[in-house]
Amino acid sequence: MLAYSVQRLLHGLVIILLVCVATFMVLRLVPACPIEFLTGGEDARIGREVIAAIHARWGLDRPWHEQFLVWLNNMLRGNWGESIVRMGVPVRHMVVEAAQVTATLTGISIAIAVLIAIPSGIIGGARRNSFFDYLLTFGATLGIAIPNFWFALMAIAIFALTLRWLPPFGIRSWEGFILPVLVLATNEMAIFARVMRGSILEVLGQDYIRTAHAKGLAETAVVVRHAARNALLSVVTVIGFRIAFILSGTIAVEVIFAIPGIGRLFMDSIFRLDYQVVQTIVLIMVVLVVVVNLITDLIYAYIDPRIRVA
Amino acid sequence: MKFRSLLIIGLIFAMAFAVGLGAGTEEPRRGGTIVLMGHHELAGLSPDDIGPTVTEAAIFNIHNALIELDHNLNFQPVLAKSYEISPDGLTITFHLRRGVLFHDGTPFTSADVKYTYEFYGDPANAALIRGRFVSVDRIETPDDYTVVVHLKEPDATFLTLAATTRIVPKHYHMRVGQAVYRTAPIGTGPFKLVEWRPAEFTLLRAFDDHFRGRPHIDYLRIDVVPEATVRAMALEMGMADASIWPFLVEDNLRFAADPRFKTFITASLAVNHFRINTRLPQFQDKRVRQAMMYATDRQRMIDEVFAGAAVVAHTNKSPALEFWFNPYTRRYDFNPEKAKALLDEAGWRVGPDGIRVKDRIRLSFTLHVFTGDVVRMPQAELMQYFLRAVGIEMLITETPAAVVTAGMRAGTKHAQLHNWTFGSTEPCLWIKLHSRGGDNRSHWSHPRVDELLDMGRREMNLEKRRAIYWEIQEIVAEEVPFLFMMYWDWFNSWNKRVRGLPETALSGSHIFLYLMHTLWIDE
Repeated sequence: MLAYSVQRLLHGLVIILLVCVATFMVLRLVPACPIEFLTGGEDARIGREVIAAIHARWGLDRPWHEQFLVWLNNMLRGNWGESIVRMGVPVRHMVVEAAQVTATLTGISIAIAVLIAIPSGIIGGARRNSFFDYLLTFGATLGIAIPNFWFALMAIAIFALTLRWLPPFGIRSWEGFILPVLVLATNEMAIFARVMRGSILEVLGQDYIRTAHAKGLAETAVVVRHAARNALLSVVTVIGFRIAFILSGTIAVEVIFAIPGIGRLFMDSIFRLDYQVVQTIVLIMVVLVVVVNLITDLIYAYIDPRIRVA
Repeated sequence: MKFRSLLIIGLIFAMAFAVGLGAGTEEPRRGGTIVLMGHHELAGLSPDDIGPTVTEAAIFNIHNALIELDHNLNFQPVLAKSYEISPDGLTITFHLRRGVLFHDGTPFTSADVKYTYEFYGDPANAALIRGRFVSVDRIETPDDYTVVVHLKEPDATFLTLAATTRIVPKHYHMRVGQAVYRTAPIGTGPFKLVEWRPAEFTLLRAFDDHFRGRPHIDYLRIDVVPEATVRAMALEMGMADASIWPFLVEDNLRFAADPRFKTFITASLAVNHFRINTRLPQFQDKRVRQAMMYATDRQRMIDEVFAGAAVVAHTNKSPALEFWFNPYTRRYDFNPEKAKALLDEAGWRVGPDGIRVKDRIRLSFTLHVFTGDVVRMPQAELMQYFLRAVGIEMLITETPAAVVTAGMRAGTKHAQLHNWTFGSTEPCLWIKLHSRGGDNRSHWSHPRVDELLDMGRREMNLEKRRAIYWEIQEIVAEEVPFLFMMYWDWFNSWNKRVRGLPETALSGSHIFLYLMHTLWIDE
């Protein structure tokens, strides 16, 4: 088990390093430079020497491999560098602030999604082909199929513009969280409910469930205590992955609802080539994915010895 | 005698009262919050944080400059009462306004001006706006209210660029440094900073001791809302009073037609144009370039592609720049027959495939449109149709913006389509039209224009300077170094609860930058 863990850990570290190098190179291959965006409105008098001085200020005049080593060295020492676009604001400050917003938003969304999706999935699976099951399957398919950005705009048009119940954007008050959470939770809920339903169906066909029935246990006890517990494992895995891939869902929601989260920071930074910020966020995401993968692998290996050997 | 003066005073009071009654509803009301929306985060709040108008809206309401641009794009002395320029153009003397306070109660003096210009002009500080101060030799402050700027060479852009730089307080900026200052600025402006969240909102509060009087409203908030549709819905709901950045065309037109909103429609300063490499054999003859202008029905292009929301361009200058715009240049009304005649005259004969040929060169070129530019692609396609009708072939390809820019500058690409300023409120377009200019993408060389551009930089007298740029526009209209199409309309809609707005404006954006302290809210 120890050898296996070390192997998986090293594997993860190699992936992290490769992604860092790739991100660094791709950003530098774009035939443009963040300074061009910064000085855009000033071209009437700006001269080459002014541009050169700004490049030197940010170390952009050095060869890229040197820039990479400086960056890597700083990251290892816990110095995340400074944002070029915000001219000197520490990246750590920007990322931590934005990450807190996104964590709150997705935390609430996933919690609500779990609270609704798991019982619904259990009922849907246990009462297969019932009206509720059809409703659930239909709702879940719709929830996965509807694009986030469209749902978000429709939610604003209905609940803010037409009904005037909720603010159209911003999270200055708790009401502001309702629509973005609704949009994010709907998507997650659909995914979790489908997985839970499928998993329950699978478990219900197992021998030990028949045994439980044979023991004379009530239907509810069989489903909740025996089937649901085992079926939960697959849902937990999915939840872990959804957390690791959080950015994919939140970018559109954060842009539309004007929420200053990590997804929007990432988008803005890419468009303006804010090298340090993009690199840091990519690094954090890769670490997150690798860690979630690692934990999943280790849990599986712990549960199923066959994986360890192979 | 005494009775008479009393009577006069009494009469004056009565008249004032009557005027007050008559204008009853237009008496400014104090209090409330005006909410503006921007599309873009506010990266920082110092004078060096040049960016889109939304950032300027915060910076300009916190700070003042010696000279500022008003909503009709006229230069107004603000922190300077007046200025004079020495006959040799090498010395500019600013006389400062007295009794101006910074937000911390410190008086504004000439030392602050000297400090601001020297700090941002110092190469060691690598400021983005450093270029504005390159011609400065030294700055003197003979007393608290006089600033004397000595220039190395006459530089007309000093007044339009350097003197419009916002002034920071020396005692504070020097102590905290630029990095902190960007997050916690103190200016002389009508509003002071309360809270700044770059990607979320910026909240400003009225400054009681502002030298032009306290603003009528208590708070000014700028919300960052990236999505245009959401901004439009928020304006519709009354959650915000105006959007600094416009909406989608359909929404812009809808608000303009809605009586609950007052909409300023102003011409943009950047000309929408086809930039062509005039060194190519196809484009060397100016008659070919003129023919392309005659071949294009620009009004139809505006109506069909841009829903009518643009004005035809006649030169490189926007008609919104009333002072600099020359209305007497050569015009190119849609006339395909004239276009054909000009091409025949230039020796380009129609070949077997319908495309004109001369000396075995086909009159064909490739146009680069920015990748993903869904707004201008239909315009390019319509242009292709117009040019084909007179025997010119234009192939269209999508290319990333940075690659187009590099290729056009190097002269390896034929043509591109975009919007760009050829001289805005600062009319100098040296880098774009001078034969030695770094951004002369047309690769155009015209000795008289070179001479005029050099003169324009040195000419300190505004009237004489205007004559120079008028002549450049005449030459541009005659020679057609690029195909000037139109100036897009810029829309700014305001909720009518906001009062005190000007009847008209030549720049809707500058209402946010210059007039916020004069507005009030009528509930």
